[in-house]
Amino acid sequence: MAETILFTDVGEGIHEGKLVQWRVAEGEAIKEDQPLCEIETDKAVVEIPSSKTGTVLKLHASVGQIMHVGDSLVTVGQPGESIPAVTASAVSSGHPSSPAAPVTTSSSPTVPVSKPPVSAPTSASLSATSAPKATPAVRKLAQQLGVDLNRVNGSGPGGLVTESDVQSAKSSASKDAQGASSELPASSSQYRQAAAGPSIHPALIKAAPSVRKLAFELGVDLGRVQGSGTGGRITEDDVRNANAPQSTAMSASAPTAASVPASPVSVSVPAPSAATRRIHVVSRPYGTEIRKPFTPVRKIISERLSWSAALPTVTHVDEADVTELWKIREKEKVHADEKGVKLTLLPFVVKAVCKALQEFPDFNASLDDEKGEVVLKKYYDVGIAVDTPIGLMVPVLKDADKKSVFDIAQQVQLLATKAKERSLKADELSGSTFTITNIGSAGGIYATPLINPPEAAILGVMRMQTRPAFAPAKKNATDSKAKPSKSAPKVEARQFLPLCLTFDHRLNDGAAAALFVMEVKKHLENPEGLLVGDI
Amino acid sequence: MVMGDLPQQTDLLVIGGGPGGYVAALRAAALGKSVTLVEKERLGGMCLHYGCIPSKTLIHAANFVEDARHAEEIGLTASTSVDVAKLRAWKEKVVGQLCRGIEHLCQKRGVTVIQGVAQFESPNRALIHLPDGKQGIEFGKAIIATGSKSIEIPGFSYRQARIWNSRKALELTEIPKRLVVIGAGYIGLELGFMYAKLGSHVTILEGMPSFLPQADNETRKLLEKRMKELGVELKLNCKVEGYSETTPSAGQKVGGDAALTVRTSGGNVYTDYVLVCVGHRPYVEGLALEKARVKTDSKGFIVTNISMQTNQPHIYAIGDVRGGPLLAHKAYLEGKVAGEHAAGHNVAFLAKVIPSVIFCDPEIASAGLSEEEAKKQGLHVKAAKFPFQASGRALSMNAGDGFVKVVASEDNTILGVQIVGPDAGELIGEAVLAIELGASVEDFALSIHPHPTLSEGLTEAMENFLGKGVHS
Repeated sequence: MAETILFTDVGEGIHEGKLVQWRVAEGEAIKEDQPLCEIETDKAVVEIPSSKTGTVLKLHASVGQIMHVGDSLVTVGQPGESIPAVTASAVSSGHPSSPAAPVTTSSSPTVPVSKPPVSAPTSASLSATSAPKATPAVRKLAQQLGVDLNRVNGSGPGGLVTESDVQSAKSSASKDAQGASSELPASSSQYRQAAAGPSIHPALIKAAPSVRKLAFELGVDLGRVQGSGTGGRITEDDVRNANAPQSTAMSASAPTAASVPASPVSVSVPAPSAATRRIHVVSRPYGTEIRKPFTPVRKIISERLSWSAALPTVTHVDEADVTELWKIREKEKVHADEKGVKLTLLPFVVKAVCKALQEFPDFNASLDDEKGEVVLKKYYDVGIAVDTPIGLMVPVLKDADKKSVFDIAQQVQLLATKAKERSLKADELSGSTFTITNIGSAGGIYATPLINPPEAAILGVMRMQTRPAFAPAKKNATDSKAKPSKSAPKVEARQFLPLCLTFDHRLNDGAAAALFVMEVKKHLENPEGLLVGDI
Repeated sequence: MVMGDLPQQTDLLVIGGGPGGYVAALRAAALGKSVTLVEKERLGGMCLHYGCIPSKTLIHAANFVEDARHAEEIGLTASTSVDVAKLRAWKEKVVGQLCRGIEHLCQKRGVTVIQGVAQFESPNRALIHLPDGKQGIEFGKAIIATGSKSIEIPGFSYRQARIWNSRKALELTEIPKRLVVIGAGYIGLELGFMYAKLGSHVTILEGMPSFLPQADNETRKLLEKRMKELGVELKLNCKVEGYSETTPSAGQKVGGDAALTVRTSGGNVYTDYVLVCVGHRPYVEGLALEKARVKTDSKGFIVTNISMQTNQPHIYAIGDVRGGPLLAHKAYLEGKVAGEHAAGHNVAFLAKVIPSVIFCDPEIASAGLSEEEAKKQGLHVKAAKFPFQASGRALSMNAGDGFVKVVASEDNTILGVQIVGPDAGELIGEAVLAIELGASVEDFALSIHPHPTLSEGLTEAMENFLGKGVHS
C-alpha cells in the first residue's frame, strides 16, 4: 500500500526548512535510505532519506517551498497505485538524518536526543500515530483542501477540529506558499479572500484598508480578530495584539526550536518580554528607508538571545598576561603554517578553559528547573561562536579536553569554514556545554556576551593588547647578583588578553566566577601545561 | 514616445504601458529599481487610446447634443449640429495631453521606455522586437501587463472596414446613419447610446434572453425606457448568423441605402456598420509565456497570487491579462502592488471592492455586493432604496430617473451600494470608502451631505434603511 513520507524533525529541534532540491522524481524506483530531497534548515542543508522502498508516486512539495515538520514529502508505493489521502494511518516518518535525532515522531517521551537524556525535546511531540479529533465531514474537507489534520489545532470542545479550523489552516498554508507554490489562488475568487481567512465572510470584516495592510504584513487572519473599535471595528492595535500571542508561543518553544545546540535538558523559562512585543515600524517620509527581511537565522538568534537575556547573568572581566604564551605561539605558528593551519591564541584558550572547567564543574553545567537539579556534564564540548554573513553560528568542538592545541586549531578552522559555507551537519551544531566567543578577532576592549542557554557561562576573548607593564618577578630567582627584594621593577612591553566571562548567577556566584577566570588565567600565563603531549 | 536606448539588462522589465504597466513601472522606479518599459504602441494602453478616455470624451459630447435636443422642455431654444472632424480632433487633443503626461512622468522617474514587442526567451531573458531590429534583455524581475483584446466572432473580421470593434468605433471616422451593435453588455450599451445620441439609428442584438447581467430588473427597465426614447432597438434572443454587403439595387426596397445586411435568427437587419462588443480575451500572443514557464488558466488569463506573482515568483501579471474585472482602476492598484512587490516590499491586493461604472443613460455605478449576490453567498442582508424622483437636485437637472440602493448586513455594516442616475460614477466613490472603512449605515446617515446635491440620495437611502426616511 502506498504510504506518504513526512518531513520530520531533523534533529536539532528545527521545525521548518526550505526544500532546495529533489533528489528523486515521480515514477522513480527508490530504496530505503536513499536521499529524497535536500532541505535547508536555518543553519545547515540536510538530506532527507527515504524510510521506504518502492516507487515515488507523488512529490508533495515544490522546490523553494518552506516545509514544516509533519508536512508530506512524497508518496511511495507500487507503480500505478492510486495515491491515498494523507491520513494518520498511512503516514510514516522519514528517517532522521542525524544519529542524534529522534527516530520517529512517536509520542514516546524517552527518545534519546543527545548524551544524557534528561528529558525529550518537545518538538518531537507532533503525533502522527494518534488520529486527530475530527468529524467525518471535517476530515473530508481536510482531504479536499489538502490539509494535514495532524497540524491543525482544534478549537472545538476537547480539541475537536472544526471546519473553520481546517479552512484557516488551508488559508494560512496558502499564505505560506505565496510566491513559491505553483498552486496559486484562482483569480476569480481571490479578491474576496484577500483580506481574511474564511473563518468569517470577508465582506463582514470591519477593518479599514490600512488595518488590512498591516494584517497582511503581520500574517494575521482578520476573521479571527475581535475588533475593539466602534461597532466592532478592528483597529491596528487589535491586529498587533492578535499577533502577539503567536510570538509568545514561539518563544516558549525557543529552547527546542532554536538550532544553536539543542540541549538535552528541558528548561522552562518565562517568555521574554522582548520577543513577545511586536513593534510595527511605520515608514514616514523623512528620508529614504530600505526594508529587508528579518531572516530565519536572525529570528532564531533573536529568540535564543531574548531567552538568554531574560536570565540573571553577570559579566566578570579580567585579563591574562600572555607574553610567554605569545612567544610560544609565534614559534609554533611556523610549524602550523607548514601544515596549512592558522594558529591563533584561541586554541590555547580552549585548552585553558577545559582545564578550568574540570576544576570548576559548576561552569560546565545546566540547570534543570523542572526537577530542581543541576546537571554537571563530564564531557567538554566547546561551542565556538562564528560570525558568518547570514548571522551568528555556534559550531561545536566535541571533547575539546581530549584534543591537542594543534588539533583544536585545525578543527576550529574547519568548523568556521563550514559555518560560513552553511555546510555544517545538524550534530555539529548541537550539544555544546560551554561557549567561547572570540570577539577579539573583530576588536574591542571588553564586552558582555550573552550566554548560550542552557549553558552556565560564556567566555568572551578580546583583542590582545601590547602595553608597557612591570615584568613579573622571576619564579626561580637563583641569580646571585640579583637581589629581588631591592631591585627596581622593570618595565617592558607585555601582551595582555582581556577575558570577559558572562555567567548564570543562579548556578554560580561572583566569587566562583572570579576564581574560574583566575584558573583560566593561570593556564594561559603558564602555558607549558597546555602543551603537554602537544605539537 | 519617450525613447531610450534599450539596455542589456534591467532590474525590472515591464511589458505593456497601459494603466497597469506604467503605474507599476513608475512605482518600482520611485523605489530605486532600474525599470525598462516595453510598449508596442503609445503609453496609456487601451484605456487611454481606445477605451475609457476617448469613450467618455465622446459620450460627454453626445450627452451635450442630447441635452440640447431636449432644451426646449425647460424653455431653451438651441440648435446643434455635430462636426465630426472637430469632435474627433478634440478627442485626440484630450488623449494626447494625457499621453504626454505619462511620457513626462516616465522620463522624470527615469523609466526607460522602449517601443517594441517583448517575447520571452527564458524565465530571465526576453527578446525585444524593435521597429528596426531585435535585441535581447536580461531582467531580474518582469511584470506582464499586456492587457486584453476584443473577441472576434466568426465571420465578422475587424479587418473589414464596416465591422468595428470598440477601438474602431472610437476612432469616430463618421457618424453612421445606421449602426448594429452585437452584444448588449456594458461596452455595447455605452457605445450604442453614444452613437444614438450623435444621430445614428442603433439596433442592439443580444443572443441571451436578457441584457447587462450585472444590473437588476429595475435598472434594466430604466435602460429600456431610455432606449425607446432614443430610438434604440434592442433585440433579445437574437442570434447573429452572418452578414453580406448589400448591392445598391437589391437592397433598395427593404433596407433603403444600407450598406450591409446582417442575418439573424430574428430576420435581416439593415445597417451601415456593425460594432461587435462581445467581450475581451487576454492578450498573450507573441509573449512566448511557455519560455518563461508562466502558467495560464483555461481561458488564457495568467494566474497569480494576491501579490500579483505568477507561478514564477519573479514574474508578475497585472491588469486585464490576469483576469478578474477588466477595469483600469483595478489595473492601477495591481500595478502599484506589483511594482512595490518587485522592489522588495511585502504588499498585496487587499481591496474589498472594485467599483464599476457604466456610462450609459442613466449612468450605472456599483460597489460591493448587490442584494442578490449577498444572498447567494449566504449572507443575511437587508436593502433599502431612495428614488431620485424625490431628489431636489436630480429634478433640477431634469434627471429624475434612477435610485440609490444600499445593501447592509444585520449589524448595519454597509456591504454594497448601487446607484442608477445622474453622475452615478462620481457618487460611487463615497460608497467605496464607506465599505472599505467598514462604515455602518448609521455612520453614513449621520454624516451631513450638502444640499441640494445628488449625494443626498445616498444619505436618504441610508435613512430609509434605518426606517427613518424623511423624503421618501
